[in-house]
Amino acid sequence: MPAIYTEKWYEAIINLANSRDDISQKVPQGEWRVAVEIEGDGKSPYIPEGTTKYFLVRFLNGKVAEYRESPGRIPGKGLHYRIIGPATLFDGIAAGVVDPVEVGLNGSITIRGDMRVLMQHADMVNAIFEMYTQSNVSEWPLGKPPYA
Amino acid sequence: MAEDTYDAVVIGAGHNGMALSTYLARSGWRVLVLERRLEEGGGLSTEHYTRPGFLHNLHSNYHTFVGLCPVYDDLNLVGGPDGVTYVHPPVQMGSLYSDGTALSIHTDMRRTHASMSRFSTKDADTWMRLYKEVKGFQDLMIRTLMYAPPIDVNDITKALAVWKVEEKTEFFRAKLRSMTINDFLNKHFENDRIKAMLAFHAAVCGYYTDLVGLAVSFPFMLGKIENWKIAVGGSHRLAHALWRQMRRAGVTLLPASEVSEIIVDDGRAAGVRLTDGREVFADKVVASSVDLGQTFLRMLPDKVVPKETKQDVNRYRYQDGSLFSVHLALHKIPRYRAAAFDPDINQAWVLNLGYETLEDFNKDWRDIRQGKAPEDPKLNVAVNSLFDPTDAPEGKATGLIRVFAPYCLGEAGPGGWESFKQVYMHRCIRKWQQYCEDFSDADILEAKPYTPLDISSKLTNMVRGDWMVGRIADENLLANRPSRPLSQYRTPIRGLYLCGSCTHPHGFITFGPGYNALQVIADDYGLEKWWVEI
Repeated sequence: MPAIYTEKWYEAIINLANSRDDISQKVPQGEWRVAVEIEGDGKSPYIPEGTTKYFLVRFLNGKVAEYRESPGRIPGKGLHYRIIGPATLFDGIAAGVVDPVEVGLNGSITIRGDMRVLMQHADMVNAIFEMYTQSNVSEWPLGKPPYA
Repeated sequence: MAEDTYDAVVIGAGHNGMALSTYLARSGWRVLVLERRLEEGGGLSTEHYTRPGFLHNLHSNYHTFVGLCPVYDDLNLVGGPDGVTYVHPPVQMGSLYSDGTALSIHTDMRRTHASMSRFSTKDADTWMRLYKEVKGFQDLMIRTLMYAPPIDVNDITKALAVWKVEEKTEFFRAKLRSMTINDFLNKHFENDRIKAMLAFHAAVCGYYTDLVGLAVSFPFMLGKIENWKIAVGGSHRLAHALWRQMRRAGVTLLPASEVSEIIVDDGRAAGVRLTDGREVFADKVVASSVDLGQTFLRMLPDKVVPKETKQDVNRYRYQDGSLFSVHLALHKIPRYRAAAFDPDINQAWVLNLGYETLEDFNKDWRDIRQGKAPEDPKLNVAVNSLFDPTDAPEGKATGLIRVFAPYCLGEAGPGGWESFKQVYMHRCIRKWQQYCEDFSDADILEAKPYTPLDISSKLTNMVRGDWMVGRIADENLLANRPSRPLSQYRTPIRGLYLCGSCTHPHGFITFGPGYNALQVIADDYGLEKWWVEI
């Protein structure tokens, strides 16, 4: 399995997300653009401390149409959400050991954007999180990021 | 008038109408704003009310959404040569108690904790946990729950249940929907003085502490307890900043232009007729920032308003009470006896003088609902000159006393204030003096009352002296405000939108109604939302 934040890992995530028609048919249709900023925090070995990885995830009609890394901060125009936080937490979410709702609520991960759609599709948000955190697509065993 | 046809005609030049018109003009629309009064700004009203040189904010005094509301940034309203200069007092508010003690709320929450700890270390610790928890999701929720067209509260509570938020937070519970603010405070806090301080903050924000359902909003409100700011030179400076941006964007503003009728053609709002007979036409939108009664029962032809809408308008309720104010020109800034206990209280901006328990609030709410001015007035006092010396001549100060009060004084109705206002003003001043050190009538150059009747006479939008322009209660918030069918800023008349404080979220200088109406208009007309930057 690929290392997290590599091209192969992005592909694995896209394939995983797009394999679930039960989810993609129920989520809001149309285009949704989400920027993710993962900050190296000195603990995660995947992102050097003081640097940030920038991703753009573009959903189209319930499918991931694009999941790419960007060399710099993605401009805010045209985005629907921006999610910012330390790498340890993102790694932990991918490993299924960090609750994304909890870190969103306590502000450890900042979410910008209009939450109304997410609230109105709260079940789907949970399903996406479960899919993401309980499907083992990174090189470490589920529940155990290698530096934990 | 140079033109008589615009893309949008906005009725009312309060802060919501001004902001909406500026966004639309910057989107390329030709926009006209019509204002009944001679000046723009609505509740952003600052006048030399007592004596020349003394600037009094007759309506809005506390600006608590600066830095939280996107409009300030989008329209460059703060700082620079064209924007407002805000002062952020380090001691935001305080309570003075009859035993000479005092409690102060600081921008530095460690100092707030220290002040609360003198009354209860347990409550001080609870406060810090509550504040930290709310701060975690405040920005997200304010954007979602205030600066977006409202969703059903059931959607919100369902999401909280699905995400198991109750297991992940200490204070956020679905059952807050069935609790009063008093219930919330009694559940989590033990000390009467601390409870009264936090309840005072809610009351000044327009939230009655004994109404079931308002506990759900209370934690969010507390998250901005340290965000109270003063516009240097008076609140009207914000209207000036808006006015400059409107002009720059090409908006036409016509003061002294009262709308008598919204012209409806083939089911579409096609323009307006003014009281002097002039007609102005709108190719796309007429947006009303005035109250429901004026829009639907006075301005629209009766035959075009559906029966259900009329029923909704007639059912719409206003706040139980209003505010009685005293504006003062002072020789000096008062000092307080309680400064011996807490020296910071002399530097606190918004002061509670008299509320010591939750029951004190309950009693006043009962009196107000019965049409009685509280016999022993409990005050909300602010001396802006502490932080803005430009609001008074050198060496002098401007003062403000406010009291929660009924609009109708018993059987005398609102007109009863005319004969009672001087008596009540002096009672309020006496009350203030009780807490002061060496502050006599000789220190007051002039005092002038401003009654609930004055509020609604000056700003007809504020029906019954209600500066929130509609009841703050569970049944009138989010997608229930002002009614379910009208809650998305659209009306049954095609092309007619609501953008005033009768819509979600409410009055106060939030800009929420104008901003949210903008989102809906942009969706309906395919405008690029240049202002949205995530």
